[in-house]
Amino acid sequence: MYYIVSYSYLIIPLCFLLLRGKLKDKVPTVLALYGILFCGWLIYYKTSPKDIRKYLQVFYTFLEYSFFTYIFWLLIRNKAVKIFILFASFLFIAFQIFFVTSTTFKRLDSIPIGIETILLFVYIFYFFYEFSKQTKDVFIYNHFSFWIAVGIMIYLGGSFFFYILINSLNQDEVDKFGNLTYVAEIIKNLLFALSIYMYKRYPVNNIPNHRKNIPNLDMI
Amino acid sequence: MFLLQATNSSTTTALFLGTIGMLVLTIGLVVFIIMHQRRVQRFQQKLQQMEIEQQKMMLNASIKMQEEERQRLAADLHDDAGPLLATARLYLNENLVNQDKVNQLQSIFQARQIIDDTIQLIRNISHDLMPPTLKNFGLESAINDLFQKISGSGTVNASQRFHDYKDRLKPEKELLVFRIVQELINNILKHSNSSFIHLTQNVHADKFYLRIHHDGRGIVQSDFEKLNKSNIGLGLKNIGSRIRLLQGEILFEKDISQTYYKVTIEVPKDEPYSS
Repeated sequence: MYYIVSYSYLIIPLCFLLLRGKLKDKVPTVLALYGILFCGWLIYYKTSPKDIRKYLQVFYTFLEYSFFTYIFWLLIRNKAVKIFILFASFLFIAFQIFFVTSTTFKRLDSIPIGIETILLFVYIFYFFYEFSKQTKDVFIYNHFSFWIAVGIMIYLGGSFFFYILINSLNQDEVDKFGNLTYVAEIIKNLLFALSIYMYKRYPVNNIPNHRKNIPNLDMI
Repeated sequence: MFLLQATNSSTTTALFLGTIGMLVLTIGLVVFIIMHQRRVQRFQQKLQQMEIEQQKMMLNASIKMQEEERQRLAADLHDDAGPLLATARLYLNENLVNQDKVNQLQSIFQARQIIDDTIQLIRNISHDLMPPTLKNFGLESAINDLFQKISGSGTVNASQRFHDYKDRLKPEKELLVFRIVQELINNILKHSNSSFIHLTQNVHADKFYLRIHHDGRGIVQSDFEKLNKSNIGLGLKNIGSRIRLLQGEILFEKDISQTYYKVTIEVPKDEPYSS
């Protein structure tokens, strides 16, 4: 199952390559890069020496957070929220460094993963709010970004409690519930590939972002 | 051992329920967003439908206005120019019949007077159709002329200030803007009972702005929209259709001080037009 999940990441770059030339936005490219990088990383992780796995896991959390956050950074338009994302990301990375240098953990870096999940959920909620406020003439599910957000939500929702509690589970339970997170991960990869397809099928709709400034028209 | 088992079992229960809960939350949120958007879209469609209806009404109003204008023109020509020219013809006819030099001169003089009056009449009709100041000197001068005439009457103090009108709008656009201003001023004079009217112009980015202030009774945006949808307010409907033609916007509001009413017109500028 582990390798199926690992190779499922390749669906994203494959879809990207098949539809190449028609994708002008940054987001599909970021998704394709994410698929290649994480597939390679997961395969390498299985063969990596045990003493560096702790760092690999922390780096995985960091990389995953960075990719997802960058995608929402590109999709969200409100400047204040973008600054908030930068600030929260800075705090998150600082916390991760503190965590990896000061804490020992049995299996996974549960607390940074928990914080990552909560932050990403906040970004997704805001993204949905902004999207539904700005776009009224396009069905939300015809927009590629909707499927990215849903994919991330299913993945985070399906794995949040597992990663939070993983250090207090026995091996049988980890194997049993691990499969559930694998399913969520495969669904996420499929939805990412679908989002690239949606991007091609329904080219990006420009969300109007205007508010005019009326010049001086006083009675002088 | 029992305690350990109990703890473990509660952890797995929490994990199971938590995961299910998160997934339900995710699906719930997605469904909510889709349903909400569909509702918004249905509302949007309704609005579009209403907009189409309103456009139809505006089109009807514009046709009606055109017909009225034609009728007025026909009446002016038939009732004023027609009899004048017929009278001139009579005088000239008399010239052919009457051989007396004095009478002939008198009738030629009378005919010339009548022809002069007719020329003036036709000039007035033509000025009504297309003000020469607007055609020759542009919107600023035409509005200035209009305001001077209003101020000249002595009842209303009308003034205007153009902040930045180096780049003139295209003549078609100027005419449409002028007609809107004329209609607004007519309405103000007819209904508002105001003592002053002030017009200000400015530009910002790629937009041209005009604002009219007056201190009488006025309307706000909701009134304008209501009147636009109703069967009355033909003039306002014409303003609406002209604004639509210009791809601009119009905003009726009351000043913060609650003393003045203001109407702001926003029109997209095109490439500079040199007169």
